[in-house]
Amino acid sequence: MTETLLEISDLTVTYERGSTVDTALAEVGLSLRRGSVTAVIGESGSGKSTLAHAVVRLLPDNGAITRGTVVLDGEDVLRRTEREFRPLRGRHVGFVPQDPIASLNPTKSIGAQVKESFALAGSSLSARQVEERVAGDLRDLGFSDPEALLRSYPHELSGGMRQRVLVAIAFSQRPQLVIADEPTSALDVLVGQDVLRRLHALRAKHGTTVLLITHDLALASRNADDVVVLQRGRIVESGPIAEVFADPQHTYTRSLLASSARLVAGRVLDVGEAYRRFARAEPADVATVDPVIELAGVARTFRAGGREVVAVRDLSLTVPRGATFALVGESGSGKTTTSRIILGLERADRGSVRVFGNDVVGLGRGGMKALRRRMQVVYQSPFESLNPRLSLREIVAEPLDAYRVGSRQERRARVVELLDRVQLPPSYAERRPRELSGGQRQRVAIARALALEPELLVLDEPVSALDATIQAQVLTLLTELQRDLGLTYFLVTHDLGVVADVASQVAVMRRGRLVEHGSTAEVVLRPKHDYTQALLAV
Amino acid sequence: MSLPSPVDTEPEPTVALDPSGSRGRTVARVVGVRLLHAVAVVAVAYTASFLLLFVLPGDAVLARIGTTDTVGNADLSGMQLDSLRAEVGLDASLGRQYWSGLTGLARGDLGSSLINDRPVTALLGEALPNTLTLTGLSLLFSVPLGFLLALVAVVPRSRAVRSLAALLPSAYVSLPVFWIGVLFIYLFAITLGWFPSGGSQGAASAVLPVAVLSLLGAAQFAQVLISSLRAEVGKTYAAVTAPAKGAGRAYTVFRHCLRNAAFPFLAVFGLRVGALLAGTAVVEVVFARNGIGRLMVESVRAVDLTVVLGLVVVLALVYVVINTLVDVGYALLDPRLRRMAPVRSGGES
Repeated sequence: MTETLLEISDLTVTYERGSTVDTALAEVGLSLRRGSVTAVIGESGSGKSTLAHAVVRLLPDNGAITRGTVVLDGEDVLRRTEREFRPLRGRHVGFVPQDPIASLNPTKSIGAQVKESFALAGSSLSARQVEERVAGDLRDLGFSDPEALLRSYPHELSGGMRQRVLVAIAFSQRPQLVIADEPTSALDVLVGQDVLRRLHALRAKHGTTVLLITHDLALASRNADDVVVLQRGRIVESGPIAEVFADPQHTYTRSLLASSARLVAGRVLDVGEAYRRFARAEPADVATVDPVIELAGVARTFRAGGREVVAVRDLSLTVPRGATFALVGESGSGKTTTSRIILGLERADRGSVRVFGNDVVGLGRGGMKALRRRMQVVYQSPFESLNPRLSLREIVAEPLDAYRVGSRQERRARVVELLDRVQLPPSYAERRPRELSGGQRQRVAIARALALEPELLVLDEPVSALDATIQAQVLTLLTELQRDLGLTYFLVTHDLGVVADVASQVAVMRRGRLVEHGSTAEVVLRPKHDYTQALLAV
Repeated sequence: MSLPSPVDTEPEPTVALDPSGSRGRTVARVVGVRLLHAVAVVAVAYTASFLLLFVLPGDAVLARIGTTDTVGNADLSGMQLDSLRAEVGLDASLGRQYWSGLTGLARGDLGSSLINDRPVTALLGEALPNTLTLTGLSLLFSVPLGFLLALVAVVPRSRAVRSLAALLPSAYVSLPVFWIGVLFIYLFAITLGWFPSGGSQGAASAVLPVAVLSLLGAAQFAQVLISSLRAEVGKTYAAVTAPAKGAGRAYTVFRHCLRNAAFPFLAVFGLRVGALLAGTAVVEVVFARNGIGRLMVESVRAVDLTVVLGLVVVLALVYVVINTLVDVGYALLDPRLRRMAPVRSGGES
């Protein structure tokens, strides 16, 4: 047995797109030490996921490995035919996919899907031994009742539970290597942290080598021994993660590290420390005399098929003019329902909802239309919130058209002005969303929200779909816009770390209730509730 | 050994357990709703066709003696049309005719043909078995054939084979049914002489019509299945999770994708059966077979109100039955729907 388990050299992967051939990975070389955890970091489009899939040869149909060697345990596995390669999957290389929702078959029980791995790998274990190993692994992964879990179906499980099931599947055959492709990016912060911690425990127990694909530098720094930095399909830097993060050699690594406020000199700061260093928002001199949003005793329950889900229970909060109010909570906490109630898209069962002093609940169609002019919304996914068939001009002008603002010429001029506001060149007006990057699209969404000169912007996870470097840029833009235009922000997010340094006030929501709320400094530096403390420790 | 979590971020799986006894009540309620639904569908279909038929020009009496064109305008009034109409009940007010039809329907009496006075139930009784045999047999062949075609269009590694298999169904459905019928008659009945060209007597007479309809059904089913199978094969659980466990392509398709791809298939199955019945009408005419389709064509031509309405009622019932079967199929295929009932221990493995 050699020290190196996996040695990749000169690996080149191309994608055929229509008549063109894109190179996703170019002459990539890396080696994994037995028993180590290696993180592959880079922005979206850098080829991280392609690398993960190329190692197990599960590239999409239009992808091809055109050059290179992948030596696993002394054998160049690229020389194998597909049929010869298949027995390696599962038995020698486990794979944890990115999206826990789409990665389990919805119509097969968890038990069937976990146990299937043993049959497919030609395991020599008896049925009883399989039962025991699966139950043991599931307990290691934090499931207190494996039998009930195995009888359930994917839709009965939360995202975090599904991801832990996928980890169990990947480790079930005790492979030497497990590849985890962004295993936590689709999960809430605390849930993702929990999944990763358990994956680590399992890995340590079985001495598994792990290749961890991630865009989250703090996560990489906490979990990996070595790091590989990918930029546009090429490795720009690699080595022990402590050294690389403390003393990055390549400019790209440096810019990547600089974008994450949480990493300083190779060390991960917790949210509080980062806040102390980087806080951008001025201490709240915003008084509560002129409230923009006032919620008092708001409750909302959803009923479907005899089931009741209480989304919001007895919620009261006040957002003063000029504030950046961050509502923080995990999925299912009721934060999105709250923002929809404020926007008048959802009705509260109980309580009063006042925006600019107007009672939203009692407002008629006309009153609502007038109110919507003063409050606009920016959604999470810049990929889905822009109509792909419209040009940017049409997208940004849509609110102007809807409210019949100005003449045609005036609207054209206004679109250019708005694009300029979000730092996009006027030439972009005729482009369509697919020609833009995620960050640029989110800028367009912001420009559209600004078209009617609103006073309040509801920002629903405005940066969580973006890379860290882009997140920082968009947040800076939002801060500038607020200063120049005197906007009030109501910001909904699951990640307190991302917004702590732009928010003036923070409210933490859990299971439909506010567990803590106050100025950002208060909440971040002196959290009172356990849950807030857990969020801040991430 | 379970590690303590910093906060209880996630509840353990909560499996929906109905209190025992409510299951029987649930089934009774579902059956009740279904029956009510069936009655409503038949009543609405009956009413709509009744109104439509009255908008049509002419009536059965005129049709029986020929149209105004053949008789000429001259002496229509002198032909005692009114007494003829009174004979078959066409003189009553619209409301009365409608009401007597509807109450008859409730008693299971569909009235008598306006053309030859035979009870509609008897006419249907003669025609229905032929058509049901034809449709049933063609479904029996077309469903497996459709699945087979779809699998050939998705499973093989060779892109050429897949593309060809995907092309066939689209090509076939774009040909008109009557044209294929005539082609089959020319090829297999006239040129080769293997099967009779028409008629309803004997098993041999059913071969060509069943072949035409089976191929049509198979092509339509295959089209739906190909697109849904392709979608399933591209999803992560089939594209990544299963192969990462060591599964091959055929295994993944058969054990993981096929069931999930069958849902869209089931959804259009009901509609396709309707299309198949329409296809049957054409085939019955082309092959000169007795059956519902031919009876329908002849009755509409003769404005034989009672027979057409009787046919509408029967077809509406067929639709209700098919849709109920489709729903049962959903419940059988999708564990998520079954989970409304108490959970049995074990589960599949």
